[in-house]
Amino acid sequence: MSELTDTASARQKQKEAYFTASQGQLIWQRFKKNKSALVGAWVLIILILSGIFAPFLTPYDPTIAGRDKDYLNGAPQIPIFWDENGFSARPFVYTQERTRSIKTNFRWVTEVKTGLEDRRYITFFSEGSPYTYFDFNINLPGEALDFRIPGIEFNTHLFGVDKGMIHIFGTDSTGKDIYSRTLTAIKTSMAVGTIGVMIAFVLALIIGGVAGYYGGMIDAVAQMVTDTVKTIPSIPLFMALAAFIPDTWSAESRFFFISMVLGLIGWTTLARRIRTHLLSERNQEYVLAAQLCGAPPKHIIRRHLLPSFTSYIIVDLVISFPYMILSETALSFIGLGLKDPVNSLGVMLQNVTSADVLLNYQWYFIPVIFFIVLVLAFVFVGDGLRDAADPYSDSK
Amino acid sequence: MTRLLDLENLTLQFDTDEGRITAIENISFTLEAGEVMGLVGESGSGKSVTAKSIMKLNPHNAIYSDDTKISLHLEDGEIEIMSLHGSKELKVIRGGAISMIFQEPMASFAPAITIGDQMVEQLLIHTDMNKKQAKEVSIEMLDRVGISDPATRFKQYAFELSGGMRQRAMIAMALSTKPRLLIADEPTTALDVTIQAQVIDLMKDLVKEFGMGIVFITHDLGVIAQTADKVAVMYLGRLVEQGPVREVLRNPSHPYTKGLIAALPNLDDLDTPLTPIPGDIPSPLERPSGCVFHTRCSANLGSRCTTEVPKFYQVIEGHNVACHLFDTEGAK
Amino acid sequence: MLQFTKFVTIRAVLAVLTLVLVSFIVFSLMELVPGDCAERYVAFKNSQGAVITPADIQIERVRLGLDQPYVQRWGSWILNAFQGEFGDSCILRVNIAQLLGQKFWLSLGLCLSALILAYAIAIPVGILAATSKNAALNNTLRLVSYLGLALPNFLLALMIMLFSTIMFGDSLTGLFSKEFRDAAWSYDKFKDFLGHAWLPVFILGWSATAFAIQTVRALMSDEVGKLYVTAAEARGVSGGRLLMRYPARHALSPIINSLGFDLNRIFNELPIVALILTLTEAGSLLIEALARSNDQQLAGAIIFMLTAAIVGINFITDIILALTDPRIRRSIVG
Repeated sequence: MSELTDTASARQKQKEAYFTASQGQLIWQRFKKNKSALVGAWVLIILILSGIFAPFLTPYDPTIAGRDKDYLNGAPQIPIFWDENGFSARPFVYTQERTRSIKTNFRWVTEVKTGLEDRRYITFFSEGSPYTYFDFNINLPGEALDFRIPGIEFNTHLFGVDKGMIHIFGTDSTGKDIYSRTLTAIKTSMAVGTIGVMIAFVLALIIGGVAGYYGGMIDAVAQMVTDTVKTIPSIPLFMALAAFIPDTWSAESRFFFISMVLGLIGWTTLARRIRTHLLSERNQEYVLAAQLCGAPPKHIIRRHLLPSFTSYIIVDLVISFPYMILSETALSFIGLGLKDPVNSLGVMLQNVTSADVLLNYQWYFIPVIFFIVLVLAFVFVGDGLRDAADPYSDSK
Repeated sequence: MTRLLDLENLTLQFDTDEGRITAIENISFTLEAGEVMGLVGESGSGKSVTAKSIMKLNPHNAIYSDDTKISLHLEDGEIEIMSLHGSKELKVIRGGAISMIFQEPMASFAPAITIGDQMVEQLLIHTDMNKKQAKEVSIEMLDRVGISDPATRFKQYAFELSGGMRQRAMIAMALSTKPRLLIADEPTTALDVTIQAQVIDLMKDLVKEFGMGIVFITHDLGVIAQTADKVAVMYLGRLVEQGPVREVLRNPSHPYTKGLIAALPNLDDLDTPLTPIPGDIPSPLERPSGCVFHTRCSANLGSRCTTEVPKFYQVIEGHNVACHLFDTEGAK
Repeated sequence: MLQFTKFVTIRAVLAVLTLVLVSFIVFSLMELVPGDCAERYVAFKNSQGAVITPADIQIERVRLGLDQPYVQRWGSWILNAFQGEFGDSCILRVNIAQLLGQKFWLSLGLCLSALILAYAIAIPVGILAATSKNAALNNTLRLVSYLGLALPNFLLALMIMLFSTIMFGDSLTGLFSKEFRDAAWSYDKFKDFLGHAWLPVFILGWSATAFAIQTVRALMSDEVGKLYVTAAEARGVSGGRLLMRYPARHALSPIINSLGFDLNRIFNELPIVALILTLTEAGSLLIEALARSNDQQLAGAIIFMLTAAIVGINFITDIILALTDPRIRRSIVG
């Protein structure tokens, strides 16, 4: 008999949990049911982590400093465990040497040596070039605003090779390791995206909020401005704004400026949403009901109005991320965006359209796959969030 | 009076993500031509689902039980509605022999197509009139339901008419094909009380004139009292009481019906407190076993009500109630 | 009729107002570039061997009208712009309108074709997706639309170039073959154009189609669930007629509404795709102007024209909407 009451009370507890669950918990429950969104979320987390830990996960410095002079435009080197010389517990790659001799008509040729003594074994947790975290070196135009915070230095990398260098995605025309650059590029793009989204969010909140809250003339003017900015095609506008950056600025300042520009142009959709939402929700009956209960305006805004659109806001933010990243990529690709040593997909793609690359060095395109996956992951997660957050979307 | 509609053991389940949910169970009733039957119940009782089942208008994930039988008796024969599959076959009854009007007249008209176009379309589907004749008949119908200047209204859109006019127009459209059965799903709920009265009067006139049967769904007992000849009370997907309207309202037998009537405000004595039915309607995912009402019933007999579904027992001739309390011969 | 004319007039005035605002933004951008036209001109002269003094620069400035106050310069710029005259490019020293000439219409043509293609595919597919219960179909469509959203056009263009270079040894670039490039328009030139233009139209249409499918599907899903569809079904309307006349017809309005915005998106992608495929039209010209030669006049003119095209399309769709959606029509006409 007590067994019966145990399960009954367990069920009762479950029911209560369901009825008193917060909005966040409900959304999470619905989100979990969406398999593709979950997969997307995992992929996203993995990619973000690999971006954050890029210096650790990659063997070399992605800038010119870390380049391999002996291996320009080199093909990817895949570690293997076994070759005709026998099996090895440790993965290894072959030595590649550039030689020039009368045999090759004095042209530089890369020779692969497959002898046993030419094996280069992969080492794990090896020492390599140093990198720092939490190191801020703000270099804005004008000396007065410069400051730096020294960070913590590490120099362990996940893997390396005992002799020479290993390039699992190959190298580019100056010998920079593409694998290292790819992961760093992910980090940069995410950073640009984050800043851009935050700026867009703040702008949207202010403009949309003011327009929605006050309505009337202010709203009409704000609408006009929003519509105008929205009508101008954004990429040409980005390009125009980006063309302003003097060449004298440092790479980091460029980075911040580009992110700001992205935010400055991206606020329109969210602002519109916030404004429409505020305008309609202000007059809803539940607001009136709360007012009649004697709730002060702050309480109404915080507990009634805000939750009704936090989900929209979050969804919008997540969905605008990939647009920011893609816009930055486009800009950098043309040469108007980020420049070396700051590294992003757009920067990496700058030289990809030459026939030489297309015919001979196809591995330059490997980062593209990463980015497609990243953007897809964002899109899946964003869509999943949107479905989970909308209490009325039960369509099958 | 000729028998018009026979509903037997109508049981319907919905196939959803959470499994099969029973919406209505073993609903049986009959309707004669010229009779108005009121289907009463709270929201969630299954009245709309029952009405839509008559035309098989429920969504695609609706599953009817095998012993569901719905027979429509027409002059030229009987139609087994459950044997009709697909919109082509169902076309015969939908809008033809049976018409339906809905609660929200604004929402039932397509917003961007004129009223006239929609009326003519229906006539062209169900009769062999040509466009000109259909237009004439439609305008005539609009006039018959009391819409002034029908020729102009014919060319207008639903949003240009007032609420009462829209409902009349919907009735006109429904009746233009001279159906034998009219299903009215809460037609007066969205209207003002004065308009409500007009629409009800109109419906009663038309019943007399056309000799059709009406299944009138509502949660408003007052409207039923005025309009219906017999009434069936539903709770959580089951029929709990049915009979002639005066009889059931004066002599409510099922505890639920009693509770419904007791819950009505007493206009004679404005000081008496309101007595609602205690408890809440259970979720359809957790239908109570045995008698569906037992969780809220003050006359709960204990284990019998919890385990055994009550059959219909007679109160007096024509008035039946599904409650163990009325089991005069039953064993205890 | 009078009301309708009033509606059209108001919309036209709003459109012009928007363009004026746009011109303000564009013109300001042009002005913000350090170093004005006079200096550049003079620097050019300098590079040719002439000796310049600040006085010369000032003379040049006056000649170009650069000493007038901002508002006046803006005013004359707009007035000229509305007539299609953008003056001369500071760097190239050529009349901008002449330079843009055909190229702008080519760009517009490519983008509009992509838009039409997108909806030609999206409308039937979207309707199908919204009404079919087939889970496999739904999932495939979802995947397709995700891919369309996630794979931006320029990456697609790159991949196609890569692929075609490896497979066919030809990178499918350019809008015209060599012999037709500067020739006058003829039937043959048009055929050559079509032979090359299908690729940019396809690429531009790629994500536009994905978006359009999403939109159509969502709109149709919404409409299909509404009461008037059930009511129509209850009247015996069935099959294709039920689908097209009821939910589809009503989903049309929001679609027409969004056309301007869709074109905006396509314009966005045009420059980079054009650059990759080395098309000789306005988009790649824009990039060159901004990235290579820093020619703000040219860039400003192109941006203005692109925006004008969008404002124009918005105006047209507003009118079409008023004509086809009785709710809007009656609310103005009264």
